[in-house]
Parts: sequence; C-alpha cells; structure tokens
Amino acid sequence: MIIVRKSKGYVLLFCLAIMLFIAFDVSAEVPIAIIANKDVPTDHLTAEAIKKIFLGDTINWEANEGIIVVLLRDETIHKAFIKQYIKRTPTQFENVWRRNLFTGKGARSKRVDSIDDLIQYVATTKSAIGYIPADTSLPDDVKKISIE
Amino acid sequence: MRNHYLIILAGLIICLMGNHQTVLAEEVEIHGFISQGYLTTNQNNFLAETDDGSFEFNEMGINFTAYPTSSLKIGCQFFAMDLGDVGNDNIVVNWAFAEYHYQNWLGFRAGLLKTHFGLYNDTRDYDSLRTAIFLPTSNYIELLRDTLNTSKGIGIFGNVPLGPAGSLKYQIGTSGTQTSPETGSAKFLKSANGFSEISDIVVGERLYGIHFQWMTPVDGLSFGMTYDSFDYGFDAIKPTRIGDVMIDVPITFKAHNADYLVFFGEYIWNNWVFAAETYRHTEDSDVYHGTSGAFLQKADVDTRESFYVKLSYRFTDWLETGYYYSRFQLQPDTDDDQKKLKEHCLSFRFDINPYWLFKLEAHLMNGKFGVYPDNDGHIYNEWMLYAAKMSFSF
Repeated sequence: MIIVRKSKGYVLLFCLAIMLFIAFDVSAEVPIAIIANKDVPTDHLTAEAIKKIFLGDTINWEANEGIIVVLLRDETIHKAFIKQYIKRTPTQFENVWRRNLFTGKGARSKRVDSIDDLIQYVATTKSAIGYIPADTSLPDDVKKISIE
Repeated sequence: MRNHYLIILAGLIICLMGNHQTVLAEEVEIHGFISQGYLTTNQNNFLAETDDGSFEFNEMGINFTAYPTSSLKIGCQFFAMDLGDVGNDNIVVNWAFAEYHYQNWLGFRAGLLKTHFGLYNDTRDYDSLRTAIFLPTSNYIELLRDTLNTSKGIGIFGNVPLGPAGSLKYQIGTSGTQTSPETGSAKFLKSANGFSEISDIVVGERLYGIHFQWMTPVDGLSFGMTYDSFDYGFDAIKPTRIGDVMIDVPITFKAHNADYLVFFGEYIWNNWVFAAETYRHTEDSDVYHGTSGAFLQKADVDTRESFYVKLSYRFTDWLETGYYYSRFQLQPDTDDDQKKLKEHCLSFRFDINPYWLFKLEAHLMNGKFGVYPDNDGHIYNEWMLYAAKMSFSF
C-alpha cells in the first residue's frame, strides 16, 4: 500500500512537471519570415547570422551601417520567432536587449506594437531588420531575407 | 532624499502614461526602472538594520539615448540607490558616454563607463536581468558596488569572429574614479582595516582593464576572464593602542599593484542557465603618517579568493527559480570567521508582466565577514538572510 501511495506521489509530481513544461511551451507554430529595409546590403543570411544579429552580437551591416533590430510586442509572433530562430527562452532573449538598454552598450533595438507598425518602420528605416508571419504581404521598400 | 525619489518617479510615470518606450523625441529613447526591497535576518545585522527588518533597500534609474548617426550613440543614466546607510537615494550619473561602432570587431567608447568585472557587474543595478535579488557575495560584494560600478575613461570593444572556433568579445580600457567617504567602499575599507574615519578614495592614477569572453561553437556556452590593475589611496584615522592608551593616528594609505583577476563560464541550455566565476584580488599597500608623511609600515597584503556556482531554471513565463553557492575568503591562509562568508541562496522570481516582477529569496549564511552584531550586541556565525523585492522597468 505504501509503495502504491509513493508511486502515486511520483506520478503526480511528474504530471506537474510536464504541465509546467507545457505551460512554458505555448508559442504557436506560426511560420516566421525575416524582413529588412530594401537598402540593407544583403538578401541572404545564414540562420547563425540571424541569431547573432537578434542577440546583439552583430551590430553593423557590412557597409558599416548600424543594424536596428525591430521587435514585436505581439507575444504569439514574438515567441514563435524566438523559438524558430533564436533557441532561447523569451526571458533570456529579453535580457539581452534589456542589458543593452540599461547599460547603454551594444546594438540598437526598436519595439513596435503591431505587424503593420513593424513593416512601416522597416520600410522607412535604413538598416532595419525585423520578423513577421511568413504569409504577410510586403510593400516594395521591404524585402524578405532568404535563409541560406 | 524624498525629492530625489519624486523626480525619478515622476519621470517614470510620465513615460508610462505615454504607453510607449520612446517619448519626447523620435530619436531620443528613454528607459527606466525602480525597485523596492525588504531585508530581514534571523540573527545579526547585514547590509542594513536587518535584525528588525529594513526597507532601506531600493534602486531607481532613468536613461536617455540618442543616435546622431547609425553608428554613433550618446547616452546617460541617472541612478539612485539605498542599502542601509549606503547610497541614501542620492542621485548620481551612473553612465554617460559616446559609443562609435566602426566595425563589428572594433568600436570606441569615451566618458563615464560601466565597468566590466566578470559576467554580471555591468548589469548588477538592474534587478530584472537576473533570477536572484543579490548576486553572489563572493564575487559581487555589495559594499564595493559603487567603486566597481563606473569609471571615467576610454575603451575599445568588439566581437572578433574566429571561424569554426566561435567568436571573441573583448573590451579594453583605461580609466579612473573617485569614491566619497559616504560610500559602501569606504565602509568596506573601514571595516576591513579598523579605520574610524576615511577621506575620499582616489582610484586610478593607473587603472586599466581587459575583459574577454569566448563564445564557443557550442550554442550558449562561453568562457572568459577579466583583469583589472590599478592603484588607489586615501587618508584615514586609525585608532591605535600605545601602552594602555588608544590614540587616533592620521595615516595615508597607498595601495600599489592592486589587481582583480576573474575567470568565468556560462552555459545557456534550453530553460537552464549555469554559471560559475572565480575571483582573486591582491595588492601591496604602504602606510604613511598622515601629517609628517613618514613611512610607517607595509600593510598586510590584502588577498581575496572567492568563487560561486549557480544555476537557474525557467518553468513558465511567470516563474523562474535559481540556486547558488558562493564562498568569499579574505586572506585565504587564515581561518578567522571574520574573514569569510559562505552562502547558499534559493531564489524565486515571479514575472507578473513584462514590466513588473516580484522576487523572494533565502540565504543560509556561514561566516562573519561584513556582518554586524544584532540589536542585542550578539554576533553569530550561522544565520539566515531573507529578501523580497518588487521591480518595475520600461
């Protein structure tokens, strides 16, 4: 009887742990595309290069223009982007940019409320790069970056 | 003190009412944070009057950044903190510098710079960037925070690609700083050396530092080191026993060849973060008579050897927990409880929303370094520190 009770306890603990993992992993599998201002001097980036840009490790384009990383406040799209490209938790990702904001060092970021705002900002800002759902249509002054 | 609080609070409110992170002008970014904590100990007093519990534990700051060109950034941050009788909410300029990115592998900074010292020194003022309320005491001594926080000078930095070996982030700089007698560093030196009074501490007639972090090819794994070398000095009063009489002797203290050497490693793997750092400080010091200038003695060589290991795990969007073990040792060849402090720390962090969080933590402490007697005049070797803190940032 004692063994059965112990087993039930372990099962309960295991279920709680699984629930916590599930609670974390709620980001929808929305396919995400990387976009950039049409003047950004590349049309292709490796997955590693994208990760370095969005983690603030690469701060200049080849032509010495400072990169402006545009981030979405929309949690579903933002989390899907982090999951597909960055392989960090949203908090770990957030800390990279907060670190830059509060120490004044490193790469530059801009946060916007909606996909339309993001596209508008990227369209009008030289050297900006951002992310959107892959099926979103784009104006002429914004280009999709293909992943090598 | 209250006025300072209100000024920063008003700034925070104005910005929050705007419901945007960027206000005033399109090209000037404003960000800020404010936190309020509570500390209590079951025995002893530590950092504040903690035997009865203390709210004298808060930080706040607001910063402004502008981008004249895409590669040039200029910014500054105003900061105030209170921790017991240190800080007292006096507003200081926390950082103020210009930063130019020439290439990814080379940039320049000049001004009042945040000091790199191990993994987390440059971000220690920002509660939202870590799991625990306190960074491990072994490497991040709270009383030395003001001196280690910023210094005036110039530096170069960059991220050098190493091909299949990953990349190397570096920062090299030279700078100096001055610390007033009301700061934690002065309190630390008084406590460590038995001084009754201390003047301004001048650091950096010669100060340079290098900081490297090798980002290995293994995703999330990095190793690095910091080395700082400097001189510092100050005037002080040292009560000295001569026969049966205690007299106050004015002295001038000059430390040469002081250096910090830190090695660190960090691994970010899924929801886990593992980190460890070691820290060694050595210096040679000479003591002169404060009025005649006559050489009195060589001070004991100040050596500190410390390390910590820590891990944290993010369970959900709103819950993260962490644990660390840290060990601080002043003059490692002695076995005096007054010169060591070991701690186990268990922390819980609750993210209420992206701008608002709450933390709880408990420290099981062993040792008496930096510890003051409780309100009954007793001092204990084993004791507990409990902390709670709420933070807002935007």
